[in-house]
Amino acid sequence: MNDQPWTEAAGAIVGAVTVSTTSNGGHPPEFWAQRVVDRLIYVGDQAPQPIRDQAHAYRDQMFQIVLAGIRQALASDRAYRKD
Amino acid sequence: MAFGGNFVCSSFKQDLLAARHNFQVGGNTFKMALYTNAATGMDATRTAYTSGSEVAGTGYTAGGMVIVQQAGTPNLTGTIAWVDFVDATWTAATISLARGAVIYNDTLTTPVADASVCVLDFGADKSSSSGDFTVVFPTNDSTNAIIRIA
Repeated sequence: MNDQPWTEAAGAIVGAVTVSTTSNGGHPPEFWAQRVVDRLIYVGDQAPQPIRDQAHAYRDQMFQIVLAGIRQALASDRAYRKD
Repeated sequence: MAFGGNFVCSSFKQDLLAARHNFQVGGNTFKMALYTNAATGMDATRTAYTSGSEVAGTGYTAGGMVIVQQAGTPNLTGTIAWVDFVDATWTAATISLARGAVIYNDTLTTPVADASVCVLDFGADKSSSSGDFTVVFPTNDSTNAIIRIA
C-alpha cells in the first residue's frame, strides 16, 4: 500500500508577447490578416509532417481569404466615409 | 530594477485564492500600461499599477488601455487553465522607448486598487511614431497563452 500523498505541481505561468510598431501610418491589411489567421489556426511543431504541411497550406488559403475580406471592408468603409 | 523578464505577480496568486479576479468575458476590466526601462519593481513583487516611469506621448493615456478578454476565456485543457486577451493597439500613437508592460485589474479597489496580474518584458525598447503600437498576445492555447494556471 502506498501511503504517500498524491500531489501535482501547480503554478502560474505568463506567456511572451510580441510588439509590432509602425511610423507615419498603421499596419497594412496583410498584418491584420496574419493576426486573424494566427488566432484561428495554430499549427503545432510536433504534428506529423504530412498533417503539418496540410495545415500550413490551409492556413495560407485562409490568409488570402481573410486578406481579401479586410480589403473589401476597407474599400466599402472608405466609399461611404464622410470625414 | 529595470525589466528583467516576464513575471506573474506574487500578489496575483493570493488574489486568485481570495476570488478577487474575474477573467470571464464581461467580468472584471483589465488594463495594460506601458513603461520605460527606468521603471522599478517590474518583477514578481509588483502588486499594482504605478504611474512611475509610465510612457507618455500622443495617443497614449496614463493608465494604459483596456484589454478585452478573448471569447471563450477562461479555457481549460487537461490540467491547464488559461486566459487570453484580444491584441492591444494604440493607434496614431507616438510612444517612445516602451520596454515593458503591466497587466492589472482596473475593477479592483480593495484591498489594493488596480491590483497587478503580471509584468511583461518586451525584450527591447519599442517605439512608434504617428503609427500603431500593437502588443500581440501569444497563441491562445494551453502551452502558449498569456496567463496559464497549471
